[in-house]
Amino acid sequence: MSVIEQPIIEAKSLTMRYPGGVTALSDLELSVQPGITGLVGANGAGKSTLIKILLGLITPSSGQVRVLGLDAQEQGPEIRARVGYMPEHDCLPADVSATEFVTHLGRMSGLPPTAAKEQAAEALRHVGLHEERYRQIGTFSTGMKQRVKLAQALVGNPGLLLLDEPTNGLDPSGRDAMLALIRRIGSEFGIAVVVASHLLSEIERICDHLVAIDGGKLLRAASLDSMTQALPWLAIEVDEGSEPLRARLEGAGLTVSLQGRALLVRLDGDPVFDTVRDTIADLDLPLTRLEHRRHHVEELFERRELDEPTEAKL
Amino acid sequence: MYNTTVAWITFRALFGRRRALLFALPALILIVLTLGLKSASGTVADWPAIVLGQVGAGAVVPLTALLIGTSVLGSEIDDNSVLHLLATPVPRRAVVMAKTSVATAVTFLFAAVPVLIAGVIAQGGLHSLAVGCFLGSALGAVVYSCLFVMISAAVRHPVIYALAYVALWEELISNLVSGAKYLSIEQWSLGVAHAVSKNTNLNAHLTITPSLVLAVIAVVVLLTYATRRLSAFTVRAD
Amino acid sequence: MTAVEPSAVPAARTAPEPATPAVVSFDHVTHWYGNVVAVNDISLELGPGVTGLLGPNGAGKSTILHLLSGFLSPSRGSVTIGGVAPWRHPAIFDTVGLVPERDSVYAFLTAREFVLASAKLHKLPDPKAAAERALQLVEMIDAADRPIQTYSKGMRQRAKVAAALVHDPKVLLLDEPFNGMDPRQRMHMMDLLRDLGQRGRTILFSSHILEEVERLADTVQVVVAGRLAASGDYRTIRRLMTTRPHVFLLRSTDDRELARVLMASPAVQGVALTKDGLEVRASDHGTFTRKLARSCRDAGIGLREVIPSDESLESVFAYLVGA
Repeated sequence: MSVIEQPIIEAKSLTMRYPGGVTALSDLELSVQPGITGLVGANGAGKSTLIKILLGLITPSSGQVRVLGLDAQEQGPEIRARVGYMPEHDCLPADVSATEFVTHLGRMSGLPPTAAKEQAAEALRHVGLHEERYRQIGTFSTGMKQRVKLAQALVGNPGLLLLDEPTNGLDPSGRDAMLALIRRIGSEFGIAVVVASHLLSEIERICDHLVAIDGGKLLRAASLDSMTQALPWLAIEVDEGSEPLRARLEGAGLTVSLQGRALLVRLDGDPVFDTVRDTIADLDLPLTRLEHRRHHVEELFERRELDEPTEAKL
Repeated sequence: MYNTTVAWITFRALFGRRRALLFALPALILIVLTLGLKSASGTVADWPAIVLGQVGAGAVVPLTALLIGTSVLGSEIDDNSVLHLLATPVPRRAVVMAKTSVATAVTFLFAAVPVLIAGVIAQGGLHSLAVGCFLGSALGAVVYSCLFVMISAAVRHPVIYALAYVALWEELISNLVSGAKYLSIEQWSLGVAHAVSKNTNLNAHLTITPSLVLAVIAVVVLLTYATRRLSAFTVRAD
Repeated sequence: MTAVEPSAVPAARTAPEPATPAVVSFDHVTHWYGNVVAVNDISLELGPGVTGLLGPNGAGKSTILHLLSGFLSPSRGSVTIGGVAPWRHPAIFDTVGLVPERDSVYAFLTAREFVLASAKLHKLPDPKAAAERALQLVEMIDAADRPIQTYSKGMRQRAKVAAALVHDPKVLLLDEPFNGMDPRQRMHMMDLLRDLGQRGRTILFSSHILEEVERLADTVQVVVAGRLAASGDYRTIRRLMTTRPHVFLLRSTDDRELARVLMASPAVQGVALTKDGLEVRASDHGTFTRKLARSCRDAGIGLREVIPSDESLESVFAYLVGA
């Protein structure tokens, strides 16, 4: 257990220039650890190029990539056998049953017939499609189709799952189910997962780490906890009387500002908590929220000046 | 009544796809056929009237008009991009007029003009047969375009209905049932061609007056109906 | 004004009567396709500001937007925008802008051509200037001369928004506008819509991403199975669900003692010590929140955090959908 694990994905000065002069990745340094990692980036930041390189489908202009210890340029087929990939786009045949489809892909990735069948059944059970496994995919809802895509990625005992926008097109309950499923796969099955998503709230919910790329470069790689640290501000919400509360708090010498429906109080030390509690009690106000303000992953993408260093500080 | 922006978008859409190459295909076949027959049988036989009338006005014009007429509106409705056009205050009549005008102009260029060229090739000069068939084809370009734009506005798979009209009605029924000639765009075209050229090999069943009157009535009815259908455009259930 | 659970009463209406007359209104609107009832007896009124339209897939959100833009006719009831029924009335687009969900655009045009065409179709006096302004609003100036087919999904989406905004409409309808946008584009679009709402435009957008709706929308309309399940401010909607206890997560200097104190209160239904703090289920929201600070002070407990854990739009939505 104490062995230092090798990174799941390791990229060194990875550069991808397409013929025609478009540079998708430039000198990207990347190291992905086991667990669930969120991959975010602006559109056109090189995310899809990176995925293709990781799967050994295209050869980078320069630099090195290792996926599960395998060289992406030399051992593409081996990588694809060990990495489960869930593409973003709808790419399922309509007139085939889920079982047939997943089994077929298992066969294509080199499994013997019986093993492919067993693993397909297993994977469909994991994603909650056991009952519907003999139905034609064309009759499935968007959420079920996404789960078929996930199931086919699970076949073949992958060491890594690459999921590209797994919640695309799902409604809130479909999203919840998909996110819970990914979380479970990451924690219970111990498979490393990389989730590419535009939705930072999703990443905050399920990921342990985050990798942000921007303009083909690494913008930030960090654990989620470190990116959502508490700020020295306390948000207070009361159902009524926020004006008198503000006046009293300021009168008590606290720094207060208004943000939306919340009063923000600067947290200089523990006595602030008691001042707040006592003021609210004195004024007899209904307290509905008292919460630390935290950093958000989103701040990564807020308008920045040019030339900001890649390794942002807290 | 007419909207240049709609016409411009329609024109760009028409030639922005590879399908545009298809538009020239019927005309190309006509020209090749004419050249072939010309080298095989000289200038005297009665073949030019059949080629210009039956093949030119009777097949090249409707097929070209079909390809173009169902493209100007049908493909937009098919992929829902028409919503960007309809989510504007432009009166639907102006949309129909612009679409039909572009379809007519392009069909004229890719079908009627080639009929004239084929006529000149066939007869080794500009004679009344070529002029007649050209004018008849021009009339055909107008009416067929109105028809196919109307079909695109009215039904889901316009190409199938348009093909059914050309193949079943024009080619089969109007040749078998004598009364059907009054409702055949091909016969109106041939009526005009015959009036100009007096060529009996054209096999025209109508004279010029009913041809023109019926064509005008058809244009008005088709455009009005197309406008009505487009005004009631509904998105499909998801 | 008393409706609570979706099962009990169809619509919990919490929006205060708008001071200005409603711009958009549905009066007992039903729409069916064949035998399928897509929208069932919906009445709602929207005024200026940003409204989020929520619901599970197939609940009728797109149908509502299409009824509003005149691309569907109500089978029963009436739909009006600014007093005019949109069906067969394209002139409403003088003051209405629509961003359809589907990705289909005139992909062979550049964004500049596309937006300029939209400006001309709206018969604007200075279409060029209007197009540039709209492109600027969505930050598409740099890429404006590339054909739309070379764009990413997020850029296409912005081109569509620019085309819909070109005539500065009073009412803007957007079907899943954030689809395919990356984080920065999302934030920008939210700022843009929020700003338009504050400047008195009536904006209705559908979205599946509740966190976004929560941040952007002043009020929400929740559609479940073709019916309006709730409308108004989601926090108020939550408060009206009085049969569901309100869940709070508390952290204090002495959670165990706090639990003992709170258990004595009739406003509290139950407490549980968890690794994150003290989970409290309050049956009476008003009494609980008003007594909390005082109870802590009286017991000498330092209150560190009070988080209403089921007052997010996420949980309100889950309750309404019946999850």
